[in-house]
Amino acid sequence: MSELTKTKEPNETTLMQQNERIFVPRVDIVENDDVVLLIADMPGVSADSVDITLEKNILTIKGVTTPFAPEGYDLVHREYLTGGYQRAFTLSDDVDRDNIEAKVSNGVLRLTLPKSTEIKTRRIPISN
Amino acid sequence: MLWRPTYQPLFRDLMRLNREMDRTFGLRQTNGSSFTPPINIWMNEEDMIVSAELPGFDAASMDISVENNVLSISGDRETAAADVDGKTLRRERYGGGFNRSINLPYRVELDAINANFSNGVLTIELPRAAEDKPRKITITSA
Repeated sequence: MSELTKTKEPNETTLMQQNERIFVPRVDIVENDDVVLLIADMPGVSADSVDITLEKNILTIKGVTTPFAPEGYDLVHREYLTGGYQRAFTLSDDVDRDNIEAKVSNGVLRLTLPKSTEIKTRRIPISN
Repeated sequence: MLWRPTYQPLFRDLMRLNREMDRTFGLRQTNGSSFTPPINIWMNEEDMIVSAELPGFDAASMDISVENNVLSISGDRETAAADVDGKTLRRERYGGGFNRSINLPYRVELDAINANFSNGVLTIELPRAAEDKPRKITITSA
């Protein structure tokens, strides 16, 4: 598998959707012979508020956050905005779609995409 | 096209306000390429709340302290997929540690500081010390 992903929006641009900002989460992707590991920073997101869908070979991750807005306080300094997250990836054929595992912890989504054993063990004999 | 601020009066005022805020909290710092967690600061007449986005950190690996009216937050996190060997196809996340300090505009009631870390977002409530609260002075006429 050479190119696993094709990102739609590689930078942190925002697009307005239902009056909510949608961010493209930063991801790390690591691949070895057995798995492809995708780690996405989605601060503010809990396990219940992440939505992962796989349609054909497009894997979409979405996350919703509840904006922090303490009552009676004014925001006097802002370095980050809050909103939702969305990013889509194109999976290659050797990912075992039925055994994708997802875990959310401390605002980080960790997706383990195992490679299908069928393809993993396929050897092409070379004849002289 | 790169967006550049135009020198309209409104912008100038906003930028000045922004600079002033940075100076108030001592936020204008350059520490190279290392990770600087983004923070938001909320205030009301008496107290202040600081929130920071710190995905992938956990409460145990972070350190919060207040000394001489300076709030310091530091922490460490594992880089990328430290537990999986393999080829990195994409690396956009920050790894490693950070250290951030914020000047507090008042003395804090140290025992009443309340820090909460949930889903990668840290919030710290910093109540103002009672002796530092603004006092209303009644004028008595002789």
